[in-house]
Amino acid sequence: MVKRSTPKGEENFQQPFSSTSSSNQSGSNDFVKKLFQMLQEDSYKDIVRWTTNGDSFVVINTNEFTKEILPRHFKHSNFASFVRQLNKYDFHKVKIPNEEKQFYEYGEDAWEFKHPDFRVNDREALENIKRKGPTTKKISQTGLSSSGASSGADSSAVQQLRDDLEFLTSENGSLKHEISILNTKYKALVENIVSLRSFDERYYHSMNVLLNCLVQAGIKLPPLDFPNPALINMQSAPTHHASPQQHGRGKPLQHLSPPILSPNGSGNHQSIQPFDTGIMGQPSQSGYGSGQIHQSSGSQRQSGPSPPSTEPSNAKVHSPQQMSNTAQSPLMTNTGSLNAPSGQVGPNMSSSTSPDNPTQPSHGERTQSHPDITTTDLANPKFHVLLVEDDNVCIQLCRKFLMKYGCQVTVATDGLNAISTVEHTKYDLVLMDIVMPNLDGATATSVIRSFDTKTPIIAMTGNIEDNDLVTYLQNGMSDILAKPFTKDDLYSILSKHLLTNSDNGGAVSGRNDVTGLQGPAQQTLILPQETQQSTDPGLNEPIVKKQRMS
Amino acid sequence: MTEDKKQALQDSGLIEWSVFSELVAMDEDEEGFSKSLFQTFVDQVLETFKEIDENLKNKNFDKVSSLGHYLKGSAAALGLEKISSQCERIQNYGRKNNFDNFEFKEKKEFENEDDKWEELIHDALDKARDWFVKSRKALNEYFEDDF
Repeated sequence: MVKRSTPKGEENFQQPFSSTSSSNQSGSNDFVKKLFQMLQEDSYKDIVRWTTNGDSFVVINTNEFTKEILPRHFKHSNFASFVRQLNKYDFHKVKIPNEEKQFYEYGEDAWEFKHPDFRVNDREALENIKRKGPTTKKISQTGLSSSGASSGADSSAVQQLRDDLEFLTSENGSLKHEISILNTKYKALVENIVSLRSFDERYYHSMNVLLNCLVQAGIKLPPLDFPNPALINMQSAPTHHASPQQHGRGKPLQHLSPPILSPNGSGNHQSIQPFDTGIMGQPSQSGYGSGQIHQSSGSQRQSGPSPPSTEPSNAKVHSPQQMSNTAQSPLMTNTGSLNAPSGQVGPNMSSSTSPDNPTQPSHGERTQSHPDITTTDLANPKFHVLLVEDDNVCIQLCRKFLMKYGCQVTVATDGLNAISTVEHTKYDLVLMDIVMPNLDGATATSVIRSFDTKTPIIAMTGNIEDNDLVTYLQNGMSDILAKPFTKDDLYSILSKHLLTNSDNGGAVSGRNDVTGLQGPAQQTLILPQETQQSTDPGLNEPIVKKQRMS
Repeated sequence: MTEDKKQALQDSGLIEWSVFSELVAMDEDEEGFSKSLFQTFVDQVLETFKEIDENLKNKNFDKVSSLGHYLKGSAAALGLEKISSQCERIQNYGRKNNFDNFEFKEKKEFENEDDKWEELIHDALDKARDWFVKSRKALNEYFEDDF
């Protein structure tokens, strides 16, 4: 690789022809002197130093070298241009064959450079090192040079490009390598976070059970700093949440949900001694006594928009979702029994953002153990769909359409919640937004795929560029639903994945009764007539074609 | 709901009619559904505009971009395409991507790149605000309410 394309004699001879030569003659090799000076510095020996033979020098740590030493000695921090300079002075990179690389004493990523006149402790020889590039070029331009010189200039330029290319290629390779390591670590971390969260939640519930027992046994509890893991604010993005929260869920990031702290079934919320319900990361909230919270939640309930009579019967504790959760969190029963008598848990759903909207739905919006997860029940639902979406408007709309198609809908508002929800409950289909706080939909999907390969997961996205789509599918998405989508679009996705699957009996749970599901002609996936809710009179009516939803 | 009102809203061209009629059709089995949806949207827009302002002041372009993306989705879902397309500009400019090759009417000089993007975002944000004010007014008239 050490190729002397421009013999020094020739260069010296040519110099008088060059208009720039004068500047090159004295002090022309400042660069080389600086380089020599730099190598005298003992403190750099882990980054750059003479090789053992003393006839070449080696950059051991290119990163540190670029960041620390180049700025100090050469007033820039660009390794490529440092290499270019070296090439101009006819230094060459010492090529280490690949098979020897691993035994190379300075490490695989080291760069060794060599010039015959550049030797340790030989300051005199430095004078022989001359800049070559511009001189020969000038000559070739003025036509005075021989063809040999011009080809020499060319080949040195080529050499330079080659070295640059080599540098960039190796840099690129190592970057790719680093990215893939980071990716692996990231996935492992996400999985860890998810499992930690579910542990936390289980501890939290167990603690609650214990506390309730103690309270019932008449033991006075000291103030406790007892954060609900699910309520810790990890949110960075807009916190327009799933839905304006009802009592029980609280504004999920602000209240510790009171029923959990209440004595089981006592209904006397004021009887509880104050806990310190401070939530980590929410200093403004800490110090609220539970009494206060209970009061505020109580008044929230009284101001609830709809009277108990509008509560559909199915809004009680009997949702399948609820049942399944009860198994792992005994607290759910408590929550249920406390909420049910109030009869108003569901309808509060939009009360905090739209107080002037008394006609808000009475679709049994249910409190789940998780503050960011809401399930809307239908009587005898055909399918259970998980909607993962952070945008309130889209949630309301999409949930509405899904319910019209006879699906029970659970909403999760970020990727982390989606993962833990899918871990606990079997869904027939997941609709997954991509851009979300905490964890994006693509990553969430790839994590879900590590334990669930069957459930159809549909990406809902406004980015429909080819690259993105490929990425989504690579992450394990089953299909893509471009946003904004029409109601018909939603229907065809649902029928494609739900109806096909139920034919195989595949991923779909036993709830489904294949008969009675209609194809697109009639456009209903709907409930049997007799289970229709009185609040949903239009449920089975034919759907107008070509309407859009978002 | 009188036909006149419908016609007036449709003529305003502020809202994609096919989307809107689908939303309104939902009111048949849940009275007030569409209205509550727009109320949610209006609250969301006011809050998000405020956040964009704050983040723009701090030159937090990434955040501005994601807020633009967020609002774009909501607006598109409701057929408010005028607002949605301005939000798309905010999203892209926040990522320093002049995807629509937008140029200011009079040539402007910027001291640095960031100033240019800030100015572009301001332009889109002003237009989004403008469309929002108009749409809100039209919807108020339609719903005979005050969002």
